[in-house]
Amino acid sequence: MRKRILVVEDNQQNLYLVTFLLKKQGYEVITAANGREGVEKACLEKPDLILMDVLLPVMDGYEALRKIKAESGMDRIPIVAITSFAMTGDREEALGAGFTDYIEKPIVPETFVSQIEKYLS
Amino acid sequence: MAGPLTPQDSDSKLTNIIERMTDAFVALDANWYYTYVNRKAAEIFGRKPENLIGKHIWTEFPEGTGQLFYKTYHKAMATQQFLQIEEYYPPYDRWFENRIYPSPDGLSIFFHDITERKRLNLCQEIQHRVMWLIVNGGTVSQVLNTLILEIEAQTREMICSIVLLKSDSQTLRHEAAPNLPEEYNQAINGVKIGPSAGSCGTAIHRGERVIVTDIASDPLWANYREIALKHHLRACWSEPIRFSNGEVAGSFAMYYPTVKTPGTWDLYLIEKAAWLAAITIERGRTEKLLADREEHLRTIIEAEPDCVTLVSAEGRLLQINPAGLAMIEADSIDQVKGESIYSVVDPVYQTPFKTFTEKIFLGESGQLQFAIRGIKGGRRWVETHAVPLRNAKGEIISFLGLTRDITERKRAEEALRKAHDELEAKVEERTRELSEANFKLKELDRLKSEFLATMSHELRTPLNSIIGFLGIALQGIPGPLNDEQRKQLSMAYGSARHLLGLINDILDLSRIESGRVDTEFNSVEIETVVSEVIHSLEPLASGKGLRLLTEIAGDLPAVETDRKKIYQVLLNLVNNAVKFTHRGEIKIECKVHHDQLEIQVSDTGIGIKKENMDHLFEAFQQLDGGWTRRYQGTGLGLYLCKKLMNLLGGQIRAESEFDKGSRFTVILPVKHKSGIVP
Repeated sequence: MRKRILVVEDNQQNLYLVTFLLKKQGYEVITAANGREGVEKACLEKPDLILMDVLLPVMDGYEALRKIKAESGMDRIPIVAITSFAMTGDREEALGAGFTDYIEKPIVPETFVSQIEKYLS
Repeated sequence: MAGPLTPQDSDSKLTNIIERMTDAFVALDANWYYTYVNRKAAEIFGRKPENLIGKHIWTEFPEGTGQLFYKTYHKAMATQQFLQIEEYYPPYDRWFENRIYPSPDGLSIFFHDITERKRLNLCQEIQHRVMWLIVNGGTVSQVLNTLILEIEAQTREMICSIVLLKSDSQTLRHEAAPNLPEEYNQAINGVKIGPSAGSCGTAIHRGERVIVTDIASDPLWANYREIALKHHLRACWSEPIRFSNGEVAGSFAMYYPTVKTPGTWDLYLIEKAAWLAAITIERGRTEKLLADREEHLRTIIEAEPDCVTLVSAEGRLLQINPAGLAMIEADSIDQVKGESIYSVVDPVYQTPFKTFTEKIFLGESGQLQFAIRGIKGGRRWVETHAVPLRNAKGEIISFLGLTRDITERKRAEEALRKAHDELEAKVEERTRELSEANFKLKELDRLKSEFLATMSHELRTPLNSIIGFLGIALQGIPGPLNDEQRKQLSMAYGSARHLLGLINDILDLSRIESGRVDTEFNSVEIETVVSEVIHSLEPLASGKGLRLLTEIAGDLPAVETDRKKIYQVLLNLVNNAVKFTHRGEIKIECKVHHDQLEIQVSDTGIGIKKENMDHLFEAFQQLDGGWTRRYQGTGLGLYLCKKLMNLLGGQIRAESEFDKGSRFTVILPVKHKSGIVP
């Protein structure tokens, strides 16, 4: 059965890029354009992995994370933050808030796939 | 007893009584013949009674003829009345009191020596008159002249003089001698005292009385005999005039026209006269000294530029100097003398001034600043220093005030205070302006940082997708590329990455400069950080055929620092080294030196020209234009490194030789000291 990945990203191009890379690897991709939609899709689809931008419209990544984690049975789904380059603290903040991992933009195609593969085995 | 006793009718009892009397007793018959002379009388006369009895009194004592007692005896005999007299008898140089009892048969006369009493009385009288004169303001000269006349009146033919020792303590000065000839007095002036300098010069020299009974023969007078004799001066006795401290100031002299030996009375008198002269002269000198001092003090006070006042216990003005008159705007001292001092004290300061004067009259000194109003209405600021003055009993009777006009000072102070206030107001205003400006600046800074952060994010978002898509395309994921396509996409990829680097650096700097950077100090093993740096740059280096070497000391301690930031610095430095080196090697060395970790990144690259070293760590100073084009970079890398090292409490420095290579040294404290981080 194909693994299902929810990508929450407001930027169309980035969303397409990530989707493209994941589909190329044979994953099923579900997309959401903002935090609230992300939470809804996550609860509805119950994906194997969630990749989520931190800076999102309507509801930001941190709040979306909390809401998802709050749903019963959802806390086992790994949620990886994807964010633009940031200074110290962002990574720690992300991990501290409950994100499983942290991937910096820009996405490097060579490493991106291997980075997420470990959460799907 | 009715008549003179005769030996014939004397009974032995009576005789016994008469012989044992302390008074002298003689009896005369009506024809002035002695009929009885007791033992005491014989003693006074220096004769034996039997030699006098039966002798005629005026034959035996012819010098008595014409004396007062001669007249009194006759009067008693004639009137048959009891008489009593006191008289000086020159041949004996004594005073006698006579009580004369007449009877038709003759006279019974009791007499006794009253010399001591008389002399004492006389001296006291003279002393009283002299003292009275002194007390009543007689000048020294008046008193001395009076003294001389009083003394001279005691003895016939006697002339007195007073000579004083000049301030040189060597020569004499004629002081007073109203009855000595002027020529003689002038001759005495300037006579040098010595062992044989007449009576006075010698007496003063010796410090003791000198008696010359005959000037004509006395060797002391050898040099002055001629002038003395010329003026009929034959005897001269001189008594030193001695001050209370023993100092010999001069001498009192008695001159006689005949050869003369002093009697006890004379010596008593001359001693007394010298003593009175001493008192007079000493008092005169003390008075003069006091007067001189007073004059001196008065001159000083008159000239004193400050106001000097003497104020009575009742607060009335006793004395004031000219400066004080000017201060209170009085035209003369009469205008204000005796007036209440409070009349010039400004109404506002009446109470403090009252408290102040009360304190002074309790015996304290003090000072007070207050305002006065002059007689003509002028207001002045003054400062008074006052001290209580006491009388001989120790009672405070007045105070001496020294008052200074401090109006100018007060005005200056006032002006200064005003200027100060104005300045403060200005400073306050300026501070407010600055604070406003500062607030605006901070606001601007915040807006700038916010703008930069937003812009960076907004810029990065599309850039990330550009880089992402270029990466995918270059990997051939969407499909195969020909060489030209690959080359061009690579160039676009490189440019995009450069742009992202620029944006990231700007974001970092804006955060550092606005102080919004958090640092996290943890225990970091530099060795692993270095490994990570090597690991990430190894592909780039080996692609250029460069060796990346590390030399890490074995005893490196863990460092308390911010891992990500030191990583960023080292990555930047090694990246630069790789970028600017075309052949050779890049070496990273780590060692500990004085509790500091030293990391050196050396290369064998193009190096840096001397003139560029100074600006190496400044923003956008990527040296000359050609450089930038050839070596891609933001121009912010080293500037950011320096800022980061400051944040970490460390330092960064560079050494370089153009065309040979560069060496960057990073120094990091092993223990983080809180407070260093800005």
